[in-house]
Amino acid sequence: MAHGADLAAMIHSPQPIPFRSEQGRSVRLETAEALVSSESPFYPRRADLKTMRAETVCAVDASAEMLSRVDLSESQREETSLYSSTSLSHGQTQKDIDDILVNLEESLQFSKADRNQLLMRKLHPLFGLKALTNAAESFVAQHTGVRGENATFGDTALAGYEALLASSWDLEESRTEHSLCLGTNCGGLYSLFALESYCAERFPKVSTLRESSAAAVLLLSSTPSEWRLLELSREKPEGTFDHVFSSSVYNEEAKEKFLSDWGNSNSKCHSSFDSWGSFGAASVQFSIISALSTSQENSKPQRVLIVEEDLYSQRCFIVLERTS
Amino acid sequence: MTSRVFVVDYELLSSLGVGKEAHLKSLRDGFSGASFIRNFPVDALPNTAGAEVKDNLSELLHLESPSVKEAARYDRKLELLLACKGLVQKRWSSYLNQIPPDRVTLSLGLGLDICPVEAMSSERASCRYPDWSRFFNRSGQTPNLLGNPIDTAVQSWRSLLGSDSQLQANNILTACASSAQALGMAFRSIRRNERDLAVVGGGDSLLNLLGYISFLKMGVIPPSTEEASQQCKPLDALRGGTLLGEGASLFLLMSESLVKRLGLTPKIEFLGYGSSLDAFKITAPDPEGVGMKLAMKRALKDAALPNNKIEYLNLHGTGTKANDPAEVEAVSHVFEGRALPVSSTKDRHGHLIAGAGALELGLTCLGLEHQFMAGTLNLQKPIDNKGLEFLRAPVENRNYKIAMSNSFAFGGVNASLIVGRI
Repeated sequence: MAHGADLAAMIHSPQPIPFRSEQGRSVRLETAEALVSSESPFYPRRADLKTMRAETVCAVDASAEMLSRVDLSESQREETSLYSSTSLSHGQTQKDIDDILVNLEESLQFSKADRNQLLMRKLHPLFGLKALTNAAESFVAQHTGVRGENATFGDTALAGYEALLASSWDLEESRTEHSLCLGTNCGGLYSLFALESYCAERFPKVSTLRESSAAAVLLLSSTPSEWRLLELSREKPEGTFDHVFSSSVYNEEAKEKFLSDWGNSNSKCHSSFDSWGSFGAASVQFSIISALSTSQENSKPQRVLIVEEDLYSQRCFIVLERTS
Repeated sequence: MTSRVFVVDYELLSSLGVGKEAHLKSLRDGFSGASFIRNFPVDALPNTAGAEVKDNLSELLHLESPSVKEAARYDRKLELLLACKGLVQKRWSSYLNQIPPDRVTLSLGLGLDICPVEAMSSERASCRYPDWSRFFNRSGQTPNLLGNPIDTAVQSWRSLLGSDSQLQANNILTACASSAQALGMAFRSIRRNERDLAVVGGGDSLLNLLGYISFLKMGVIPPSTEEASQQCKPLDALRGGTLLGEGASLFLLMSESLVKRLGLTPKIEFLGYGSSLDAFKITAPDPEGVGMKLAMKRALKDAALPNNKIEYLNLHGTGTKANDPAEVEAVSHVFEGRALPVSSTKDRHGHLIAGAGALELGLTCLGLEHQFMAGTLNLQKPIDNKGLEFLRAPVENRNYKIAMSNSFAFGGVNASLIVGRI
């Protein structure tokens, strides 16, 4: 299936801090958390920070900055759609859950009534809101005035593909002239849980995986621009490509496989693995941003392929083309 | 070239019963699924009411693999969704076998993954390196099963729909609007001829210790010792909060060409979908209902229908202080003060969170099929109806053809669906 959306603008999320390690039974997870400077003019309101996870803060900052670069009226923003992909959120509510566990341990000798009263006292009143899976979508809307059609997809790299597909269909079916495609990845403890079980089944010894939290946002537009979103597919596309990008590579083995699969066809291969590891549910958006950034150095028309693969070995392919 | 989209079949599972016939009977009889909670200890909590599914679901899971059954044992919403799958599996298999995977979409709206904190606590207390994987992958047998309940549900369906990479499978995670949005997105993928068949729906249960206390702390469930079936009062001046429920619903949608090819005669057509964002607050809806209005207007535009064609509206109607007046204001605005019959059924089945939209669209379809409109049974002292007709008692023999169902989520995500009787 071909899609004709134009990528009118782009921005990427903040720099990661150095990796920290989470040690599980079968996995050593290297993980970095995305941070944004509180000096940013687009930094969220203080009152909102109480209910925002780190990657949600990044998503708000990135989206608000990007929309500031394009001149959209209030009514255009109201019609702008917003499709988001997200990982599940336990990583960023780790402290809350840890507190709950400690409280429960303390209460093991208590009666059920005492235990419940303890939890009523100790559970953070905003715990439910911090754990919301559509938090990034909600806060981006609040900080940008976007009120269009929307959905949040979960929870692997393929979710980013679904979000991009939904964004591009909104343009093709003329529901809007602009669509934001947002990706957020939580990383952290939840990833450790997921990867732990994944690795326990596959690897006989402790495996090192790398995944970072991130937020990345694209603006798709029906207005012609330099880059065109040419094709979204679950099947490997035909033709040759100047560059191939992937941001869903979790470990050294997967990186080698990515290079051997795509490095022999006159393509330059780029993976986020060395710097950040996988970006999980934000991989598609991050790869596209990386592709546009890298390719801007070259003036001739280019075709770029994005390849993402999730932990279920489900793959998606996105072809971008430079139009001038 | 677009296709008409038909609701060929659907099934419902909630505290009102197992299957759509049980739901129809419950609605007509004024049965409430609310009671005091039995699934987890609620000692000393300021409220103890919920709308639990009390039926034994094990028979409905008998076709699942041992690993999936094991996963369902630990996650209630997964158990409910798979039980609902058990209701439809035999009926739908014959259709699914005839469609290539690249013409099928599977779209599910599921809820937040709540940790089994009590079990985690015991694990942490008992060993230095807790085996967390035990809680996130309960099978230890199925290679492609991460233990994430959403993905487990998808994997379970893949055994029926095929594992072909061209099968579109997605999960919508927009809290209380999840399954409504899953339905809307699947509807559009068939209408534009991208797919011919959709298995779509969702389910949820936050009736667990952590989920329940979270809602109490947010003030969404009020402190109350009132009779469980009387606590949730949508549209009532004395409303204090919602009733948490649980359940799952699944729909089988098909394109017109597929319906003809299979010789089917569906009774319901899917007509339109609209969604919007409040851009207001994460904690409460916009009191002016700006986003709600946009979702309903977009659904009408999507269906190419004027507002006077809608003859009944199943409200989101949570019974919370904030939602109901905002929704009434928005509905009245969109329908220009017309005496549109509206009701909320959440006072009996509770709020299914991610599963709410699918269940309530199912109840709306039941009403259309049987020329019946559900009432809001606990409504005694109505808030300002702004010209709308608040239905208190069930209405029989009402000849109507087109209805809308609303679902609005925490964070200000709104979805409206329109269906019609053929």
